[in-house]
Amino acid sequence: MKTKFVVLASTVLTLGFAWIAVAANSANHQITVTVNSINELAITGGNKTLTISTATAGSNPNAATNAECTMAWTTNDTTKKITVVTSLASPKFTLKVTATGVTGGTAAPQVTLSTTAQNFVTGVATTTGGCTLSYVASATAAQGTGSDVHTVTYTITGA
Amino acid sequence: MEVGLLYKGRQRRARRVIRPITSCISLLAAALLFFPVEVWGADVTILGGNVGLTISSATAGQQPNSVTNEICQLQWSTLVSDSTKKVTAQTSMGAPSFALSICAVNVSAGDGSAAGEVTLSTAPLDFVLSIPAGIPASDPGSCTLRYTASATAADGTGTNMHTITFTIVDQ
Repeated sequence: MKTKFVVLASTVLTLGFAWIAVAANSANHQITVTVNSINELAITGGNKTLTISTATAGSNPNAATNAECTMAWTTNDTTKKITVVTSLASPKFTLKVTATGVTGGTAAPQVTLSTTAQNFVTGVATTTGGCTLSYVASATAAQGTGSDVHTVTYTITGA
Repeated sequence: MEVGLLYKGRQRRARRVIRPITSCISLLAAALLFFPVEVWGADVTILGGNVGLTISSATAGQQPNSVTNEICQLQWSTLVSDSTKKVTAQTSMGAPSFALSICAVNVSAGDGSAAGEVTLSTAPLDFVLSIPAGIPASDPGSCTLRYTASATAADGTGTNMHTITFTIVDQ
């Protein structure tokens, strides 16, 4: 009888202390981190004017250049490129642009701007990057005088 | 006569069975009476449920903007007989694609001190330190859980699911 009592008492006390031991001392919850597709591109330097006003006698007017603007981009997507397009359908004079000092991509060959999007920087993938926008405006003597106003748009898009 | 003896025998057998049970119940009641606080132990509780953090913006040329969430709170209590304790934090996710850090902010006065911001890993890291004994469950210590998720452009896109566990242990 006593033995049974001792066994039962021990069991009860053990369970009691076990209850103490397993009392919750931790808690958890779920944290979900989602990273969406991000494609950002920005130009710094504002609007620019290129003026052609000199020539060597016997040659067409000298081209004008401008490399005061820069462009920066961020993409966390794979397989992207940056294209360039102008708003001016039939410019009187020629305007070309090249990406120089490129980081985070590969410069495409110099582009003569048109209303059709053309590659400007290729091989852009999961990176931050930047370049200088190097513009060259040129005219022939036969094109006379005047002004072309372009709105040049750069777009980060799927390659 | 025989019926009476049979009845008494049954009574004795019943007493033999019942006595140990009642004794054990008495012992357990006594244990609960003498150690009422010990039954519950040091404890941590999360308020606010599960959390989602979404990174979806960046300044061109910069890494994506990090996001912060301070919706959830952590509460803790300790025993009068406890030694100084601390709360650790860890994640279930072994190799997350994106960084997730946590910081205890607005720790209730006198209930511990924030360990500072830690980037979560599968190893338990100090989260709240120097938690004294005798913080009752009725007036628990608390802090806000400030989660910060960050990613680089090179990390790409996707989703990480973490189970974050907070544990109160001896310091």
